[in-house]
Amino acid sequence: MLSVFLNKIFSLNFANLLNAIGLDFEILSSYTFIVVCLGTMILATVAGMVGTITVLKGQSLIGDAIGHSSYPGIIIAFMIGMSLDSVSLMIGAIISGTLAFIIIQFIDKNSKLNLDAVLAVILSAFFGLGMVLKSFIQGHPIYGKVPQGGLSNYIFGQAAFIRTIDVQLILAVAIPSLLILFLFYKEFKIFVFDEVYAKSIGLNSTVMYVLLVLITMSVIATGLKLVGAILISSFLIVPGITALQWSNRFSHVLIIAAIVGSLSAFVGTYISSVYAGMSTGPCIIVVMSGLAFISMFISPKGLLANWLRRRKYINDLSKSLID
Amino acid sequence: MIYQNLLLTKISDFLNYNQQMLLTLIVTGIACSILGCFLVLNKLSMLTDALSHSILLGIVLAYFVTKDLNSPLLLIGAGIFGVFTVYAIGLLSKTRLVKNDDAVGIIFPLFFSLAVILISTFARNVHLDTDIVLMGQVIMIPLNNMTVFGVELPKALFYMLIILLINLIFVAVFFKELKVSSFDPEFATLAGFSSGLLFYGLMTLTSFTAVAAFDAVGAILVIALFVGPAASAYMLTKSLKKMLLVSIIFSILNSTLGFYLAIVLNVSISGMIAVITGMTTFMTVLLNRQGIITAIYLRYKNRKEFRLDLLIMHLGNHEDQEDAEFELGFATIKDHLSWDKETAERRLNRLIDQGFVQRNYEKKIFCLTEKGRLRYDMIKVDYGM
Repeated sequence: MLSVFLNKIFSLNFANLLNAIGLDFEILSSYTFIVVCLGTMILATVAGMVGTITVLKGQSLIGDAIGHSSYPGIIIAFMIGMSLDSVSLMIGAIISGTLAFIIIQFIDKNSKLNLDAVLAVILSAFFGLGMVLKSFIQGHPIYGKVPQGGLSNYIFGQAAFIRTIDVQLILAVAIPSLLILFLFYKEFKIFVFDEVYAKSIGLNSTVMYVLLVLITMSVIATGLKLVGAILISSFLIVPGITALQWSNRFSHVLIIAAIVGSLSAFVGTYISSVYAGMSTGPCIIVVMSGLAFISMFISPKGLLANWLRRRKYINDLSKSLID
Repeated sequence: MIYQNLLLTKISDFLNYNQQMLLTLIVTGIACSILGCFLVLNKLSMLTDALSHSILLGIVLAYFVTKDLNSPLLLIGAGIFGVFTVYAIGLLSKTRLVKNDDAVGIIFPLFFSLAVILISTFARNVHLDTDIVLMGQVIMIPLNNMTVFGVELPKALFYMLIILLINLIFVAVFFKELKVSSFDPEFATLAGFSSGLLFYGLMTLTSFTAVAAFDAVGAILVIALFVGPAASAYMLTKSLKKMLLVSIIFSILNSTLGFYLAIVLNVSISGMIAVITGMTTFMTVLLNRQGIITAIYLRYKNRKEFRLDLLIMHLGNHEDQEDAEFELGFATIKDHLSWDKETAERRLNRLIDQGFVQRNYEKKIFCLTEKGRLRYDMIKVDYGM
């Protein structure tokens, strides 16, 4: 009796509080919003932390290529399983993304081509294959009968349609990924900043690479349904870029990236829930990029600080010259 | 009216729909690969990815101004926006707050997201089909016709022909400058012309080419057309002129092969060409002069040749010696080379076929012919003996 009463008061106050700062409690407490928001926030947190490592390794565009390249895997998984089951599609995406990654590494090692040319070719070839397969099953007498409307969602993402099982899937990827990141924190740190030193102290950088690629790949694969093959790369790199504006310490950068990721996911999901018709993925990315640009301006290393520093320097200089 | 019709030349009188599509694709491919060579040389390949995605925002913004999806102003607006994208990326990486790759990775998803949001909120009556954005509408090319100077031809073909012409003129006029700034940007600056200006000239053309191509073949194939043939040509050639030529050949090959495969299998044409482009590039990686398969083949061939050389050396060394009977005897030679009987026979037969070795039935030994002698001396010189 008392607890119900307290609860009521608390929720009322809470709702009023939220309303007072301009947030709609109706939306915030709706089941769909909570599911979508949880999904995007967890995903953005993990992606931000893992992606920071890729950014620091100077490989931010590989995520983009792998994101695009995982699309044909989804269609092939659909063709084999004849269903839109999230888990099997995700496995398909991981396999095809990994294959693309291996081919990229192979060409990069065995030719004089630059990495970015390799990325561009592989990205378009794999995504093209996805489109070929998609057009193939559309008119096909066998595959055509199975409903396949969901397949397009993996291109641009459709966060509004995710269900509890998808959130569970994200958690199933997120928890092991974060665990690996924490357990091997020191190893990752050395691996990121001084690969030669890492080798000299007996750290197997191939294993680290495989681990990193595996995590990245599974994060991308789970993210496809939410943000889509084309935009998933920004979930990986933008929080990292933002965090790097604020700190030079690896641990701080990781934490800031996680915060930036989850905050943008929350705000983006909220905006897309309030204004009908706005897709969630793009909204989150706009918020994320906005935070990145703001950071570039006002952070201690940013443009504004630089400008002030330069002005102060010139002022001091002119003063000392006059004196 | 009849008079007008008499003057009007219709391209459909000469070419059927498929041929019109293919011609447009080939012209698009050539226009892209000419510029693509310089993009690949200047390590700008991923800029095409950024361009082809952010163009969508340019088209949307231009649509808000013109309110007409068929206006050529749409293409011009999008082209200018593409240049702005490149400029924004350059500006961002010039602040040194982020690396160039990061700048590319942050700008284009943002622009693409904005485009998707704008379309889904403000232009809901304009149908945004994801497949059309990414894969274009090659099938529709012959259906959108226009008349220019009394010739009726597909609109996309006309635009691409103009773009191709402009690109060709640009490359021909600034060939030396482009060459120098691609291979030695510092010297280019010293030599007194601005590689920055040239860069933006190149990027402007790339942007407009991408916009026109985007309209016909979609965002994904644009990337393949720019980078694929140029990358293949880069691995195969050592001069810029040859590279341009080879990339054009690759481009035509990819488009034709991809197009007919797609028609036969009844699948997405753009997608198929992108796949074929990827495959030919991958084959070039394997098979070019420094490629891995070539290396394996050369190793195999070298080993084979080395064994034959060894055999000739053996014959030459022992021919005039007293132990020739044992060393070179029909039945015993294999023991001295420690090869089994079939292998020794096969290799000797090969040398006999080539005219280096003959059978001396009197002494029952193998010995060198006149030609074999020469070869023996040559090998000795080669190995420094």
